[in-house]
Amino acid sequence: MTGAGRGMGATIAETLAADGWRVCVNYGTAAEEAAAVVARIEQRGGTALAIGADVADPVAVDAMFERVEDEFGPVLVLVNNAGVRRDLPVGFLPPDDWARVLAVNLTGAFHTIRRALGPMIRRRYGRIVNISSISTGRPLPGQSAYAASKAGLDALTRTVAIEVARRGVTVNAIAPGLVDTGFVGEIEEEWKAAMPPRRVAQPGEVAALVRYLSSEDAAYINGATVNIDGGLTAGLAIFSPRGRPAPAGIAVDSENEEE
Amino acid sequence: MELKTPPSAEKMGARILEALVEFGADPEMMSPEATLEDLEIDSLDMFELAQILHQEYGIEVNPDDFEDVKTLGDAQQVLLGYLK
Repeated sequence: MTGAGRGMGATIAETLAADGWRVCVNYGTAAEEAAAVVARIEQRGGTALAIGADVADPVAVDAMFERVEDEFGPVLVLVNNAGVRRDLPVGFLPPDDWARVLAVNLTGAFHTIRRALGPMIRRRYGRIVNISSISTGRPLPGQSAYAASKAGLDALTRTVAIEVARRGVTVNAIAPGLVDTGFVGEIEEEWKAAMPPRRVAQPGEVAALVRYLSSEDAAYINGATVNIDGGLTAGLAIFSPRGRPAPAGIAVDSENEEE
Repeated sequence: MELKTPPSAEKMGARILEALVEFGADPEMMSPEATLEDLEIDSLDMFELAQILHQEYGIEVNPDDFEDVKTLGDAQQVLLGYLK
């Protein structure tokens, strides 16, 4: 589980652990938070291991998998949640920032998927869930790098899904809308009012979908990107108060504050 | 390339054939002249075969080496070449 140190990723990690999965809580910079996630899992009788690794670095990813395989055995479920954002109008967006967003959000998933697939294929079972975003089809101003990275992630999801389907491996994506990741104070009432259900999603609702897509029951769901946005993207347009960028919670990822 | 347990060419050749049958190739059709297409062996199968050879023998298969591979004989020649 990449990007599991905080926010939605932490909730997903704890949910999978509650189902009996032994969970690797990967983090980029949130070492203390990741340790706290492991502690909470262990307090509830689960098993978890915090490993710091920059998913943009294939050597670090390989080392992380080696350690997980040594401690827990083969990885059968991979959740790619690690992500960063650099929201600026494209004319102001430094090339290095663009590159970093693509490196973590898209290439990072490529590295973990590439490393995970072999053992999954050998065991005729694997579940890969990529955390995408509704911004792929409905971006807000300033989200060029983020939306492009997540659109690429959706394409990666579909491509790998059809490559490995006959070996019992499924690859899907989840596209959350606005999620309450603990920054409740930052989610303004006008944003909540723009959501068809008049509320934002709870992390547990996203985690429940990850849990299902990770299960044997979801064997025939493959190559899908499932929106979990309360119907926000079902309508004609997305409300954006005064054209401002989305608050930190939208299309959320757990490493939003990485740098 | 570091070999875990260097196999004989005969042993590795047999392991390759065993894997291809596991992937669905018809054992009756196995011959050096049989094309991978005839055997219904595709890139996913070759990827898994590479995983097996890595896992069991520590062999790192380079996909570029398979650019001109058409037949089972071609594939065996490339793969057994890693033992040299």
